Amino acid sequence: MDFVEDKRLVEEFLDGNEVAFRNLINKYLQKIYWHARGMLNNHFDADEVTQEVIIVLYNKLNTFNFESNLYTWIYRITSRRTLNFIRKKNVKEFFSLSDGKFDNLELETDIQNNFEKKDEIERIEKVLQKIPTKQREVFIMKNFEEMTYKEISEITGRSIGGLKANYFHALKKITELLNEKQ
Amino acid sequence: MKNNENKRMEMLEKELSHKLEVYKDFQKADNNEYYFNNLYNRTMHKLESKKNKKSIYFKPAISYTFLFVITFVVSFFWIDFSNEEIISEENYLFSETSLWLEEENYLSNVVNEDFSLDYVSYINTEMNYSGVDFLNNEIIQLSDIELNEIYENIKNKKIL
Repeated sequence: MDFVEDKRLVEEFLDGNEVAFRNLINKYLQKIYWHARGMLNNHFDADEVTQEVIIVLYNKLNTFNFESNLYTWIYRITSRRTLNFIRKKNVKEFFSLSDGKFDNLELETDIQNNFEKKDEIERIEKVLQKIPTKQREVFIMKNFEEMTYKEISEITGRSIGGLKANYFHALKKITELLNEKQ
Repeated sequence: MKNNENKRMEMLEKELSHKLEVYKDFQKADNNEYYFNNLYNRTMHKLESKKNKKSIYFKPAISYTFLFVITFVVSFFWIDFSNEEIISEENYLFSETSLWLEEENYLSNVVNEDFSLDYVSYINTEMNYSGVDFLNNEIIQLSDIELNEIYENIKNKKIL
């Protein structure tokens, strides 16, 4: 059903219907943002990556050939963009080039404004940042996005065995860290 | 061994699921809708601006070619590539080469010139037309021998 609907929306968009693009993005926008947010632990970085992904989709949808699910393709783009962002950020931090413009911003400007359990959310995000990127990625996809190993493997290009191992290590570390904090 | 790992994994998942519930609720919160609409609109606005910029954007290669053509055309009109030697009076004053050529030409003409002056009439003419009285008086007072000597000197180009 999803596949058929996605295909229709893509075709309509390629025929010049911008509303179809909006509908398509509405369907995946939150998934893109939350993946980036989980990986980056920062609302502003996630916002930036999400924008990048939307622009890429707008420009490259004509190259999508429906050999795989659209959402797999979108996730692959999101994953790569997020990992690239982390790499660039690490390089900047290494050379102390990070402008740190968002580092000290108050949470009022964040998406989680007015949310009751800010502290708990912050704690989870901090813990997520303490595990390696590879493990974090699998953990987010498996836990928050509820993907199967097969789907994660298609997106990341990693073996299912490797993914399982990474997930197991991530589970152990996150449980330990969350328990420590309590 | 594998079963143990799977059991352990399930146990950990259960333990975590409750703690992660907060984060999942946060992701599904209703007040996020406004932000996501805003995010979409901002991105589309950005995309639109990029599209508009594209129309006036020159690729570097095209820009350099364009610059080269303009420079060539301008230089073609402004610079005379012909080999004609133009020596204006203005240039003459400042051109060492031109000055030297002129001088050489002049000197060679002088050397080749054949002198065939009538010195007697020349002196007489000079005397007749000279407005300097003291010179005339001096010449008048000269003896024939002195005049002959002057004549000989002039003839032998010692004076000229």
